[in-house]
Amino acid sequence: MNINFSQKTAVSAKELFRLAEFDNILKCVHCGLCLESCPTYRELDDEKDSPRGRLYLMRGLWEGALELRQSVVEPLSRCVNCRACESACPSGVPYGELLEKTRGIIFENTTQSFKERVLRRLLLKGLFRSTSLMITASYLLKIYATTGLPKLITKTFVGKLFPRSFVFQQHLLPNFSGKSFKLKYADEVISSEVSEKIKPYTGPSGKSKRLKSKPRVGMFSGCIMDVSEAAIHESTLTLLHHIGCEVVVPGNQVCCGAIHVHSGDRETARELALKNLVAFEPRHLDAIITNAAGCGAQLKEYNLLFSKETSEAKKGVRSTVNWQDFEKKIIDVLEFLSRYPKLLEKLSWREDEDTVLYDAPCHLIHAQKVDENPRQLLNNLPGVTLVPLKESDWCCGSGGIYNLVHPELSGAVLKRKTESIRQALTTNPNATNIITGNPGCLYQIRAGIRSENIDLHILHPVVYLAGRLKKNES
Amino acid sequence: MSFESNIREELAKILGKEWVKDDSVTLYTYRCDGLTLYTAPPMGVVFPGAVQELVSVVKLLHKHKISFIARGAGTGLSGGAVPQDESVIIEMARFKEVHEVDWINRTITVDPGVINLRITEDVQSQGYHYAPDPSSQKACTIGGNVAENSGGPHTLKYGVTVNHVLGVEMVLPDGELIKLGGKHLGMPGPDLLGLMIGSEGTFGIITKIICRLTPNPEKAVTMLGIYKSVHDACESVSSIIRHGIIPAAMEMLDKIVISAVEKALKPGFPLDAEAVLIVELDGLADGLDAEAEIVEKLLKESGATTVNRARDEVERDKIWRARKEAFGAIGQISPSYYVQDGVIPRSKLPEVLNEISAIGKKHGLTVANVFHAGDGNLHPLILYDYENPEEVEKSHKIGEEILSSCIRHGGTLSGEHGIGIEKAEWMKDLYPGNSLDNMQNVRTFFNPENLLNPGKLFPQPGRCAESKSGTPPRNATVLDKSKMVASKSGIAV
Ligand SMILES: Cc1cc2nc3c(=O)[nH]c(=O)nc-3n(C[C@H](O)[C@H](O)[C@H](O)COP(=O)(O)OP(=O)(O)OC[C@H]3O[C@@H](n4cnc5c(N)ncnc54)[C@H](O)[C@@H]3O)c2cc1C
Ligand code: SF4
Ligand code: SF4
Repeated sequence: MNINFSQKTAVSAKELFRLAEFDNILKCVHCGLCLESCPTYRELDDEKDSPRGRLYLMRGLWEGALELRQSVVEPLSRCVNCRACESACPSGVPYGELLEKTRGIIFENTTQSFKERVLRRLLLKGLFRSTSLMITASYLLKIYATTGLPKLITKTFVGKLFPRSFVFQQHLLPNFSGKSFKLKYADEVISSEVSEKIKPYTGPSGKSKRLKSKPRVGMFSGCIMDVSEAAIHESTLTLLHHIGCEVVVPGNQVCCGAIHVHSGDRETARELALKNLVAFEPRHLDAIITNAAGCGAQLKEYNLLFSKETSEAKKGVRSTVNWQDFEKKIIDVLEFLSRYPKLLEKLSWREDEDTVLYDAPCHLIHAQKVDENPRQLLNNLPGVTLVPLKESDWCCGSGGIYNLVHPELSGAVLKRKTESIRQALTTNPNATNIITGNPGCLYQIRAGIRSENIDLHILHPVVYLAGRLKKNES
Repeated sequence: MSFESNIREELAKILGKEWVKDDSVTLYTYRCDGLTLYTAPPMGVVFPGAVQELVSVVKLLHKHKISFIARGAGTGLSGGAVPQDESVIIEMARFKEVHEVDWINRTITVDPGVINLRITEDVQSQGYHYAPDPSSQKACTIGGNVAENSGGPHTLKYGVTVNHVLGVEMVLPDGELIKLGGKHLGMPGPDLLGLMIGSEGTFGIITKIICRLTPNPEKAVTMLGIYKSVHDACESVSSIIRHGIIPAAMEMLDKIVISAVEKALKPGFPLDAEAVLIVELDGLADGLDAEAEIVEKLLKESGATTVNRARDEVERDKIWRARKEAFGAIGQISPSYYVQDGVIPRSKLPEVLNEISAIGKKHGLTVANVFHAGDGNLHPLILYDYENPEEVEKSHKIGEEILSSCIRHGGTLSGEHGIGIEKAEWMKDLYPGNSLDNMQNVRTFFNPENLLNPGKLFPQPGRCAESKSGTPPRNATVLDKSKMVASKSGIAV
């Protein structure tokens, strides 16, 4: 991508960074233990495109040795923000936080090209922020899909008339429903009939909280997910019912803001954060369930958007909210379900044999450090064999909208993933599904296996789990 | 600095334009390795993707008398990969192919850019591993390991890199491609391969490596001895060795390190202990338990209050993770630390450790210890506050005094992190008389014009040696104090 820009302000990069609470950069001791974990470094083989190199550039900006020039910004924009480097780092460098703050400074203090501006305005400030626009878009795209055009482009010679990246993007299209999930269930408390006596949910912190017979949980529905892949939310709802939860889907919730944070638009992200707080806070929930790894990670880190002494604070957006209470309620559906092994065991599951692969979404394994739970859930299913996928903790190149902004690099990273999948299939030819718990990854890997004609289905874990319930159960 | 345009063009002809870089941002990120204390930008960075390309690049640079240096993962801790005299960096990251696994000869042939741990990952399903296990093994390259003759905790029983590399292919500084060694052991004549290993990238650029594969031990027993004094723990080390037992590894952590790893990783080490000693035995399952009994008895006799045995792989991993990530964990208790690397005869352990603690006290800073006890390879960690210039100054003084103490007790300057630029000036203290000249003559034989990795390993003529580890290398930018402190000093285990 060409990011033509110039610095807007006369203020030096050093001053901008000093205001951004950037001291955590000092945790990086330049040891390099993160290098091998970085998907973009492994493609580019260049120090400045490694986590250590990128941190060194950020540090250079913070120290005043570098200024916000295009050549400094480019390697930072080539980072897919998968945060695998965070898992690898022994010094606890919060890479994601530092990168996101840096992107915020870049976003606010540089002037982007016209194309960038239009794209940003349309997507970040427009579409993702508005439920009604999202529904309309979903509806239109659903019609587009029913015209058969995407199939025509991907499956026939017609595709040859278009650039490769455009053809690939057809594969990426989510299954739009044209309807909003949150509006469908808005504000009902959906209670389950099957509920047996269950142990009260004690909250992610482990401390005993409201002792009621049923945990009451909120469901986070997201932006794109709210209007597409309806099966994911519906299956989540089904499973939550089966373990006896009361579920609330606040109708006034909005996009989590991750896409904004990744591109540096922290202002819009803050606005969304506060709206979500207002949507969930008053409902006395024991937990807020997410089923998109990227959203979960973002919701757990809202406090970082409102740091204490920042330039943001100067502009009067200093937050008085104690985000801790909100954040500790956020929990991925898979982690949540695995707290109830006994209840899950009691359900009637199908017993036919099936073999599946699991791919760990970066924002689940690296950002939220959840990995064992989904594997265990799958492994515990009667009849199901989970076979290993090499580098399952490795990024697929999706990265929010990274695959649209850096199609080539994203494609190279995806290629490595599809190669691993191919390899796994050679040793386990009877594998039927690959399972992954983040919509972005789902679209990306689906596009990868489709464009390479790999014979495999891809499903969200909750959809797979719900599908393994005997018919009368679901 | 950047390439002169004719050089850039010629390089681009060999490699393609995209693999020749001399923009200021690239140079900035290549100005230091694992040691961030001294920085010096290269003239440019080239990224060959094949041996033939590398040979052509070297010939070209040699023709123009431009100095150059190979770089692996840049995890070195002595500035080995920091370019001096504006050398061109030859980045080896694109050489990452595993060529051949030969199960009969138990060898694996790899490119120099292959990561150490990758080899073990590739062969472990067949019951083998690559024995040298530096704590940086998930990042450092085999090429860098050969250059630095790297070791790790299991070096005690299995030896260092030189014991596990059977042959190399390398490019001499004039572009000649040669082979040393092969898949077999032992070559008649002087051991040129041995000379090459540990020459810190000053003899030639390695392009292929034949590594030896080691069968996994049938069983391993990991024990943790807990002590009321560091002295007792040192006694245990001597006692085990004296009884003719060679454990796979013997690693010591003192009280300060224990408190740090407990904060970061919670391996379950007792906080009131003055030291813990990790002892790992491995080998045939038969007899191992009996040996473990003996070791347990010896540990107790020499002062261990308790000896715990890891019950399963999970517990074993916990102990090792705490050991391998101990340096990172120090971040939990101190804003910065400076790691030294010195070796002493095992018998001197208690004495030197006492001295180190006294040196720290004298200057008013804490020195923590976590090290390869079985090899007498110390890694004192000097804790200081990067925002306090006085403490920074002191940390360097302490580092120097510790090194002097190691030499005085018949030890040496570096166990595994190398000499690089950090300790080049110290070589004079270690090798009085003409040994140093003789060594330099050997280097001159391989590298007559000193075009390959200049300014490393040997003292530079005409440089003042009043403050050794603080002496800025030629052409290096020494960061000003406040930045220097902020840079910490690299970590290592
Ligand atoms: C956290 C941490 C822990 C560590 N633990 C240990 C340890 O336990 N034991 C240990 O021994 N070391 C340890 N080290 C030091 C370091 O990892 C080793 O020295 C390692 O071998 C360096 O490998 P590299 O690929 O990073 O080489 P670099 O740092 O890139 O280079 C080191 C030297 O090797 C030369 N070189 C690199 N590639 C080639 C080549 N292909 N041909 C010729 N010369 C070449 C370079 O010119 C340079 O002089 C540690 C470092 C860190 C950061
Ligand atoms: S991010 Fe962590 S692992 Fe990477 S270089 Fe910095 S300290 Fe080392
Ligand atoms: S976030 Fe991912 S792509 Fe970015 S530096 Fe870290 S590992 Fe590399």
